[in-house]
Amino acid sequence: MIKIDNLNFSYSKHRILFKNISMQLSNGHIYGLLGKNGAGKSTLLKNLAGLVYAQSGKIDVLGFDPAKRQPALLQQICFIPEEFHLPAIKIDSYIKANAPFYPNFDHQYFADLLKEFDIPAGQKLIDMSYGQKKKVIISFGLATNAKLVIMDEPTNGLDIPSKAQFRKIMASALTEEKCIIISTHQVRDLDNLIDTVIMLDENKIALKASVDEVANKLCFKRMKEIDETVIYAEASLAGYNAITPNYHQEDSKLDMELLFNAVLAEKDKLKPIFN
Amino acid sequence: MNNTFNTRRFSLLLKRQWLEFGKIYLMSLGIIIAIIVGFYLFNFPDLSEYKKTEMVPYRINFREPLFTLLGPLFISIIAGTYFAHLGNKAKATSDLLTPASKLEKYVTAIIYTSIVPILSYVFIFSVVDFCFVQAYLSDYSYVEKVYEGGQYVNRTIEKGGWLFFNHSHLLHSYFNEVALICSSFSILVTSVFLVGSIYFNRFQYIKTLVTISAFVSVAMLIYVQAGKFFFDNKVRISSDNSFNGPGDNGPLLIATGITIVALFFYIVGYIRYKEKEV
Repeated sequence: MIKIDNLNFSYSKHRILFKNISMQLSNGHIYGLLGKNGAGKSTLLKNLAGLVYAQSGKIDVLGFDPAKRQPALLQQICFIPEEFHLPAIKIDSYIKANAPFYPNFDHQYFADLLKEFDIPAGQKLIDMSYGQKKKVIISFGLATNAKLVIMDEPTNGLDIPSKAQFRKIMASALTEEKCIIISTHQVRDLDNLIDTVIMLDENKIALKASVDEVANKLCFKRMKEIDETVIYAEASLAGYNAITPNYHQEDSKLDMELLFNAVLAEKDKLKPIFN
Repeated sequence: MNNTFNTRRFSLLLKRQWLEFGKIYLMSLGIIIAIIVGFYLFNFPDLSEYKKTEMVPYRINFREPLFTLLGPLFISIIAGTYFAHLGNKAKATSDLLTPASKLEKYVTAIIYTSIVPILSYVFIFSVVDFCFVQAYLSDYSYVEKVYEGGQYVNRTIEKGGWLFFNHSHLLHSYFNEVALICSSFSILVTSVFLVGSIYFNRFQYIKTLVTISAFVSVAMLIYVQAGKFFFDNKVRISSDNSFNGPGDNGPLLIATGITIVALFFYIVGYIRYKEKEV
C-alpha cells in the first residue's frame, strides 16, 4: 500500500530530518509511529499525505505520488492532524459540505461513532471543547472509509474514558483493505491497539517490527537483580523492569514505553536481534 | 477518474468554500453597502436647499472617487484574504487535503475573488445609486453640453440620466473605454492580491500592499529617470495624442496589456498554490 524509497527530507540545510529512509507498509495493519519530540513523526505523516515535499526519494501511496495531491488519492486518505480546523457551523452542515467528496462515506457509521463518543449531532462545532471536536473529526475521518488512515497524536485532548473508546473504535475500524498509521508520544495510549511498531530516531527508522516479532525476540519482565542477559532495564519499586532476549520463547506482555526507551538507549544491542 | 477537472467535484467545492468564505464575504459586502449608503446620505444633494438643478451634477461628483477608491479596496481585501488560511497549519491541511484537484480549487478561488466581488460591487453600487436617484432626483432635469460626433450638442438629463452608470462627468463620453480599462484593472488588482495571499504566510494583505508600493515606487523612479535620460533637452515634434476619443484602439490595447499582466499573476499564483506546503 505504501512504499518509501530512500526518502530524504529536511526543513533547512542544518536540520536534516530523514536520511535515506526506506520502508513498506501494508494494508490490514495498525502501525504505531513512535519517536522523541522532533524526531519527525508528524513530518513523515505529512510526506505520506503530500502536505510537504521531500528533497529526494520516492513515496508511493496506493499507486499515486502523494505530492501531486490528486483527488483519486485524497479521497482514499483520512488524515487526522494534531492541530485541526473545523468551521463555525453545525455538524450536519459540515457533513453536507464535506462528505460528498468521499464516495464511500458511511452516514450511518458516522452517526454511530458520534453516539459512541457521546456527541450531540445537532451541536455547533464552535461550541464544542477541543476533545469533542477531536472526536467529531475522528468520527468523520473513519466514516469516509478511506483506505489509508493517518492519525497524528489522536489521543491528545481526549479524556481517560474517551481514550479507551478510541482504542475500541480503532480496533473495530481495521479491515483487510485499510492501513492505519497512528503517531504518538503517549505510547501507553496505543497499548493493545497497534500490531506493528515503527520508531524514528536520528534521521532513521530505528525499529520496525510487528508486536509478535518483538514478543518473540524480546522478553519483558520484572527482575530483582540485573544480570548479563539484560539488554535494558529501568529501576522500579519491586526491582527492575527489564528487557532480555527471549531465548526460551517465554510469553511476556510488550511494554511499549520500556521498548521505546530501550531502542533509544541501546540501539546497538537491539539491532542484531531484529536484523 | 479525471484528476484535473470534474464538474461535480467543482460544484461541490463551490458549495464547500461558500460555507466558510461566504460569511466573511457577506459581512464585507454589508460593510461596503453601509459605506456607500453613508457617503450618499452625507453627500447627496438635498434639493430643498438647492433649488437650482444646475447645481446637481457638481453635487454628485463624489460618486466617481467613491466608486474608484472603494472598489479596489473591497476587491483587494477579498482577494488578499481568500488564501490567507494557508498560513495557518490546521486550515492549510484541511484545504490541501480536500479531495479536489488543485485546478478546481484555484478556479474556485478566482470565481470567489475576481468574478463574484467585482460583479457584486458594481451591482450594489448601482442599486444604492438607483435608490438615491429615484428618491431625490426623479423630478429634476438638466441640460448639459456633451461632445458627440465631433461637436458639442445639448442633451437633457432626466430621471435615468442621473444614474452613475448612465451619467457621469468622468465617464459620459468615453464610458466604454473607461469601463474596459476599469474592468481589466480590477482583474489585475484581484490577481496580484490573490498571489499575495498565497505567497505570504502572515499579514498577507499588508505585505502585498507594501510589496506593490515598493514595486510601483521603483517602477516610477525608473520611468522618470529613463524619461530624463532619453528626452531631456528635447522637444516634442508630433501633435498626435495617444488617445483620440471613442473609437481609438488605445484603451483596448491598454486593457489587453493589463489583462495579460493579470493572467501572468494568476499563473504565478497557481504555481505557488501547487507548491504550497504545510
